[in-house]
Amino acid sequence: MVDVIFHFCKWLEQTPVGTFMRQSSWAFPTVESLHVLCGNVPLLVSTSILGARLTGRVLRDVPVSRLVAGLLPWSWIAFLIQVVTGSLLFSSAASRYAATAIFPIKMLLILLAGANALVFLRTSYRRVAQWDTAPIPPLGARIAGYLSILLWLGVLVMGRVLNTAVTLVPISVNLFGR
Amino acid sequence: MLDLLGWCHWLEATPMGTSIRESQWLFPAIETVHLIGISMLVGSTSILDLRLLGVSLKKTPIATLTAMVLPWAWIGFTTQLVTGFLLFSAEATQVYTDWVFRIKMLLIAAAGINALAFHLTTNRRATQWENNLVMPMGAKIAGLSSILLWCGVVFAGRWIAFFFQ
Repeated sequence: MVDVIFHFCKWLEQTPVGTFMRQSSWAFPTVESLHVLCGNVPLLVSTSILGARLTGRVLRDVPVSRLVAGLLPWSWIAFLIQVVTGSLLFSSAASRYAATAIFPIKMLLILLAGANALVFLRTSYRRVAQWDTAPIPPLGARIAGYLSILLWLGVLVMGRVLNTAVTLVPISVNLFGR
Repeated sequence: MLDLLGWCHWLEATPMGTSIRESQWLFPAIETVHLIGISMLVGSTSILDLRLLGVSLKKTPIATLTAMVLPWAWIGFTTQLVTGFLLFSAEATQVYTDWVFRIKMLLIAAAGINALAFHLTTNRRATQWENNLVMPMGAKIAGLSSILLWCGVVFAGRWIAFFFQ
């Protein structure tokens, strides 16, 4: 399994895109800026507002369904932008990123954030008509709200730590020890 | 005579500037908070700007939206001032002489002037035009300028270290 990942990373780095991202002096900072501006900001803002409403502490007079309808498209578009810009950044030094302990953690947090949203939409949100205008949503929704805020903040922090981790010697260099 | 460069030398030699510069984790940690501040500040201003452009939240009165969003913009701006100053103190002389940094400061000033100008003019009559199908030119210019200026600030921030000698 590790073999497959290693070879995929090595292959990705050598593609024209990966090579360009690594060798061009302006490409990485530019894509990184887009990752922060067009991805981080709308994603963090939309998930935070929705998450905060679900905790029942703010915006209590706004129907939850209205926020979901208004904010979820922004979250989706921002997430797509993150996947594209993130892949470009990753391709510049794929095997080094994959060899850190931080990168898998960041990916795991993103997965958990997505799973949290999915579970919420399939359970509590199914019955939203019953609690849409209630100032304090049911327990499941409140938990989903807090989790969402924490998980996406965690992703942002891991992203910044990743910057440091990749410039230092990869922590688990034995993972791809060749 | 204002010796700003000399002040920068002094600042980066202080215990605060030195510890941020020499610590392995302090600078990244402060930078992370600076990233969160970007979301608060640029997120807030963008919500207002999109309303001024007539792109979203068209049924929300501008005064209502402003009341909801402005506190977060101020919290975000204060966060950026504090964390920005701390980051600056670590490498003050190098950053102060960097032309990208100076452009960033100019863009921030321009964003502030843009907001003030809008507040003193078009926004005075907001209740007259906020329900229009199409926003007045003054509002659209203010909204677009604001978005472009803050995007410029974020880009400039990323590129500060790029041209370091």
